[in-house]
Amino acid sequence: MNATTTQAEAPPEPAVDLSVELGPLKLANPIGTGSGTYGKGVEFQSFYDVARLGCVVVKTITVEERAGNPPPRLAETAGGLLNSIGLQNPGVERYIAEVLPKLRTLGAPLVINIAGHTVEAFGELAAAFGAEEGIAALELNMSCPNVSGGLDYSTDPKVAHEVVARAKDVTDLPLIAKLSPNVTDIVPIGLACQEAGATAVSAINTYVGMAIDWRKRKPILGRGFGGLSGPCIKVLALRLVHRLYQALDIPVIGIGGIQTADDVMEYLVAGATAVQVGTANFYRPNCALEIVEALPGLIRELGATSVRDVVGTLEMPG
Amino acid sequence: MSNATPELAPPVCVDGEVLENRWITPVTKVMKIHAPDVAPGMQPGQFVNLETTKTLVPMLRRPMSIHKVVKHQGIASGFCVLYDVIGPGTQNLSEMTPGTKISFVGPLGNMITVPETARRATIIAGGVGIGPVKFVAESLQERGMRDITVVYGARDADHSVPVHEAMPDGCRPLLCTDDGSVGRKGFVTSWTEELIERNRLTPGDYVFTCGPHAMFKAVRDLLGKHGIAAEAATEEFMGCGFGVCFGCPLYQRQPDGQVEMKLCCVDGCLFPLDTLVFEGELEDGVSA
Repeated sequence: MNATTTQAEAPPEPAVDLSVELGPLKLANPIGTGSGTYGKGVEFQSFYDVARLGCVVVKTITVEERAGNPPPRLAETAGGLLNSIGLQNPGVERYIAEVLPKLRTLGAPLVINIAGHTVEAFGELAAAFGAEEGIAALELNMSCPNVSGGLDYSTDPKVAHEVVARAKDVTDLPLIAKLSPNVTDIVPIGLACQEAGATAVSAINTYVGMAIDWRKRKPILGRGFGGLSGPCIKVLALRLVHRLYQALDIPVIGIGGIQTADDVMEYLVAGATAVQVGTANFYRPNCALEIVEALPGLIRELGATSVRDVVGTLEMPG
Repeated sequence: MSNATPELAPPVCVDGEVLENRWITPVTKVMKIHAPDVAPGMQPGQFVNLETTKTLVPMLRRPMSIHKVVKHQGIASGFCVLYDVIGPGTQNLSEMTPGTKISFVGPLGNMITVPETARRATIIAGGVGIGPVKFVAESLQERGMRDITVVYGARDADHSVPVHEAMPDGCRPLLCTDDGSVGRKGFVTSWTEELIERNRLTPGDYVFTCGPHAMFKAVRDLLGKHGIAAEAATEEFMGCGFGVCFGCPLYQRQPDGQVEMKLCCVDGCLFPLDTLVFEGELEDGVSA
């Protein structure tokens, strides 16, 4: 392919500091994985060394086992994926006994994502995982569109406050509140989470959508509707991340359609301190590590030497 | 014959190189991919997930059965997939020329389990379910099995893959099409029923089947009446292929009688045919 280049002529490239801090949580780099797109993490070990990621966020755990929603669960859309999985998981007890020991061997900071069907259930889950070793933080899934009532926790600032406060009562682990985009204004929800003691907010979860087979006059998904993710939601997410960054004092974790290091740079400039790679894990299973490796070069392009130098540097017109 | 199941190779995501991509029917192509690092670990019944484009149209990969492992001087150096050109993904695949780099994830899924006592095999394939047959039949032959019948049904002559492409030499082909343009007019169950009547297919034989749900149902019910077990290579719409998206469930009856959802990609794609439950057959016991 390329002819050999003369290394001697190139000036030494400045080291880039990729480390970021989410409150007390220190990550070696800003690249995490989106809950629900990374299984238990161990599935990726044959693709690359998962320990090189900033953190791993695992698929949501609920109090009781959930079989998940009836198929079809997926519909591919233009630049996106509509899903209705329904939080299939073995429940907290079996998860702690059978899955958590494997997760501790991954080597990357472990973020456990939990979803309660009630405020109390969030507390129960937070307490259960808070008592376990080897967990870096909890992400509160207050916004899954695919379970009954799942959206409610992040559509009402008062309820969002209650969920975060309840978890805060029972654990000292850093809490990340994962927000829904399916609201008129995301900022009051983010502020409520901050006031209740959240360490950070992650934005966004999926957009509720519907795919239709007109010949059958039916929705494609078994449950009728689902959550939209993938590259098509990136520009929607970027705007919400920027709004949260402007309004909140706590860090924002950007999620939505990330599949390249360029996408990550857009989120960092918009104000995200860290990001999660989601749907792209399905179709480009190596991409999270590829992003980690490509990021320093892009940061240098801005004349910066750290992620911190880039975060929130967006210049809005006017 | 040995029933030893080798440890399955963990999947990787790498680039292969297209060596060949040729039409074998007016709608079907076979693509040969050079992948010397991965091919030696591929087992019959497994599949790969192919990236069809870098442009995101479509975004998801396309899962394909491994049709054949290509050997160079006795060592596996690549593999083939067989596909019908139907939608945008397979259209992209069909346009790839030799030399093209193609990203694939694999090997994926479980492999065939042949009972040690099986002396004879019947393979029942419908439509593009002919995809995995060659690799499966070749591996049976490598185990020393000589008596292999392949019942293969297609829509019509345009969709019927030629026998020499579909299976290795030495198999007994029994062909049918919906319109009778190739082989017998009718369905694979017609041939299968005749095999059973003539004691050419009996309990204890190894049976592998791959095809659409309607065929699975008919074959399951027919074999079930005669106490004949079969292994079914299933296919569902998949997001990832390696068990993280949970998007490809199918229904399976458990030993306790309860029906549970299993993931086609990592719990299968091979399942005992008599355990599969299809749409319209569901009772209570599946929570949503």
